[in-house]
Amino acid sequence: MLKIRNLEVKFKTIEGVVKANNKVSLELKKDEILGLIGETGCGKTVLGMTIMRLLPKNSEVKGEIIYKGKNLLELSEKEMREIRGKEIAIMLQNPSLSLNPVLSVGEQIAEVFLYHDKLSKKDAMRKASEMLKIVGITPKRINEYPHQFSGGMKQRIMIAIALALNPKILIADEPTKGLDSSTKEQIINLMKKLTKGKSMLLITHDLDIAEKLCDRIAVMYAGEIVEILSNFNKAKHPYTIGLLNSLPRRGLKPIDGVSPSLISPPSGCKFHPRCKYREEICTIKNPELKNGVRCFRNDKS
Amino acid sequence: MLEYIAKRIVQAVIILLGVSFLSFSLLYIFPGDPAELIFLVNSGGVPPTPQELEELRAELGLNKPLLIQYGNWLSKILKGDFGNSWNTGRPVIYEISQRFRASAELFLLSFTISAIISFILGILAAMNKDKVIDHICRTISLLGISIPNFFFSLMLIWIFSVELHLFPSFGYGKLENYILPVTAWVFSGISIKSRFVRATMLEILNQEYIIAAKAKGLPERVIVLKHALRNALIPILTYFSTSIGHLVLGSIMIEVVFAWPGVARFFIFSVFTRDFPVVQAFVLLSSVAFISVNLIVDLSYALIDPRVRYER
Amino acid sequence: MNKGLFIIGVVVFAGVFAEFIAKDPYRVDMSNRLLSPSLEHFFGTDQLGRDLFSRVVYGARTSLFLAVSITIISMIFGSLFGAVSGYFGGIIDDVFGRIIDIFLSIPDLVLNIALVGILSLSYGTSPLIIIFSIAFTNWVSYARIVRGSVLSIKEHEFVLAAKAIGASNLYILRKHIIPNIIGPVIVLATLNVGNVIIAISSLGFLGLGIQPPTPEWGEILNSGKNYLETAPWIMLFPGFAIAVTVLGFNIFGEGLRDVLDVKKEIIE
Repeated sequence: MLKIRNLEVKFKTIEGVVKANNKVSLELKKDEILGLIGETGCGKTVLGMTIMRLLPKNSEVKGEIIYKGKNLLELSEKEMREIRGKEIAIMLQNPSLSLNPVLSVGEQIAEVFLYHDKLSKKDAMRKASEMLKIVGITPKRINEYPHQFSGGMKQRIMIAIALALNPKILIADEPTKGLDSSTKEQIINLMKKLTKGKSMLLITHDLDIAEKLCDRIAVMYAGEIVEILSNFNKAKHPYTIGLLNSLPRRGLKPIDGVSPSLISPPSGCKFHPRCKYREEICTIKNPELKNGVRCFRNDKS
Repeated sequence: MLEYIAKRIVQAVIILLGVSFLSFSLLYIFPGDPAELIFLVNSGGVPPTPQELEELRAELGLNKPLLIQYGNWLSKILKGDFGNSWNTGRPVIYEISQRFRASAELFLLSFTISAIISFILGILAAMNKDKVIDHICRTISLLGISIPNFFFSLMLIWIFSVELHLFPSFGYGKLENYILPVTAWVFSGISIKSRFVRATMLEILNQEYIIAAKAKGLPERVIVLKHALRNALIPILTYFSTSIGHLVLGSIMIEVVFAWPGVARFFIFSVFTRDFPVVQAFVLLSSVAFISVNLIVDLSYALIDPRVRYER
Repeated sequence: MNKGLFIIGVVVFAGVFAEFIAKDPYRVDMSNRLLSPSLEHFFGTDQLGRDLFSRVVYGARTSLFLAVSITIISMIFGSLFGAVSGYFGGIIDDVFGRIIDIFLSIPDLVLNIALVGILSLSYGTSPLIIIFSIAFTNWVSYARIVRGSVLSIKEHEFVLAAKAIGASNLYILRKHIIPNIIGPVIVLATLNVGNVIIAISSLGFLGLGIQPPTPEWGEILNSGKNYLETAPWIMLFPGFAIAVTVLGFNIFGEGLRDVLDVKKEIIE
């Protein structure tokens, strides 16, 4: 569905140039849920925003994002607007901030029908009610305002907005952040149900969610994809293994060292300062992504 | 919502009392005997005999304790009795009401025009940040707050009245009399307001929900006019209402320069002729007007902002 | 920002070194009244034959002296007021906050004019009266900003941490709070000087400020308004002086604010 090739995203800041995404290549297949996991600040949200072309002005993008035969990065703003919400939809992090506090939730769902499908106001609101029902909120609350809903409900509203026009691709950025575990369960099940037949890019740092929901998982580190796997048991990259070991149920062993700076990242393999298997070559050359792993150790096999 | 309304009204009343007390105490701020000073002003400099002084004190009730005097004064004020002008002998309230219309006309006309222009200008500047229109807006703002309004008014008079003979420099009643004063007013009015509109819009356009709206593929027009503006209206309205206070200031200088027969010019005249009751009344009334406007705007908040209207 | 600093520099220079740049601003010469600008008299002469250039240059001294005095007094009093109000909170903050509100409700210039009018009855319009009358309303802006700053810093963890180890209030104020409010206060002060100068010259224009023959821009402008047809320079030059000076402070102040905003780090 979506082919990302050699994507490079840079930001010009006062402190220097931030290399948020470095030669990222990824494929989102039809009807699959692809997880994108990594620490905070590794560049995964940037990837989502780049697909939607929602980056700030100080950004510089190179590479290709192919959707339906066209490179999204080369489309005009007008063409992109047609795609946003209708073909590819994104749910931003933090529902409390993503909903406009002075507009009713019904209005915020209905407007996608108003402006994309050019429905009348009445029809749009009717469809909005239907969407509320689908995500498990009583349609009676259609004229209420975001602050009147709990965190879990706001997330449902976000899902309603995102799926309203039945997009082919859904990008979900940390959809369960800040929710308690039972609400998390509910949201996950809801998303599983509603995204049948679609492709979804699930951005999260929660490995359990990723495992439960995703068909494949891409692991991101310092702006690069370091591993792509379908099963955590088959993890090969030292970083992935480190992430797994830091889970409470697997021993809560943190990874040594700190996250690298994206302005002046380490030479060679970006993970080498924290890797216990590092060899000299790791400090000089950055390995290529081969057979789903970016590591010289696994190169040999 | 009701809690909010009640709270605001109580606050306003407290502030009104405070302001009234301050106006009342204006008489006492200068050291020396207020009675003596009142006598001096009214007699044209002839000092009073001790007897005359005592009589005056009794007459004005200056013997009684301060709070009682304040109470008496306040009860009169609430009935609309601000005393009589020392100049004309007529009630202060009468003198003010006579001149009120001229000031109100100038004020309303100028305020409306400057509000509309600064609103549009501010939004355009925010939407086109760092482009030409933004620089124009910011330059006009900077000049507007740096050039004193009395100087700008005199410049206008010099250019359009004296040199070009286009408009009259003073007078009241005909349409042409309004042009220069309103222009002067609007120029300084736009400067502060448009800045604020621009800043508020910029702040809002950086919010997450604006990006979310963009992510839905909505046209820019909708994002700005529907999503951003409705959030901006709240702080902008508040600001416009507080700027009314500054506009009274503007009124004073402009009425003086253009010899506009309004309340503010009368105030200045009274200050010079030591007509104390008028001065005191003006201080109090201008504050009351300001507080009332603020209160009305705050209360309408309750209607506009759903977060206040539907408190959980 | 540097352009602003340059302008301020020029004005301050004029004020300080007036004796070296200009001639006697008091010297009346009725045979040379209302002369238009020339090499002899850069800005022309006024209705009493005095050299306008000199009067404007010396006027800088008057305005700056008054403005700086007012600003310093407002800054010290207002900041203390705001700091105490914000730091101790509770009833003190309620009462102090109301007082600030009361002052905010009265239009500044109205109160300034009323005060000058009343006080000058006993004292005449001396610089002290003017300084007092304007400072009387001016301190409020400082109080508000400082109170706001203090309130936000108070909640930061390092303050709570300091309290937890038993640091005295004075110590906390000195080491943690004050370094963080200096920035906004300085920015406010630079922007505020402009408003103060306008207030001073407004009073002067109304005839309630520094009285002639002491040169003061507002007063000169006022006398100039009678000669628009015959000698418009009397009105123009002091007016430009005011505008340019205020502009300089505004440009500098805004530049300063931008710089400090970018580097805004809470000093722990």
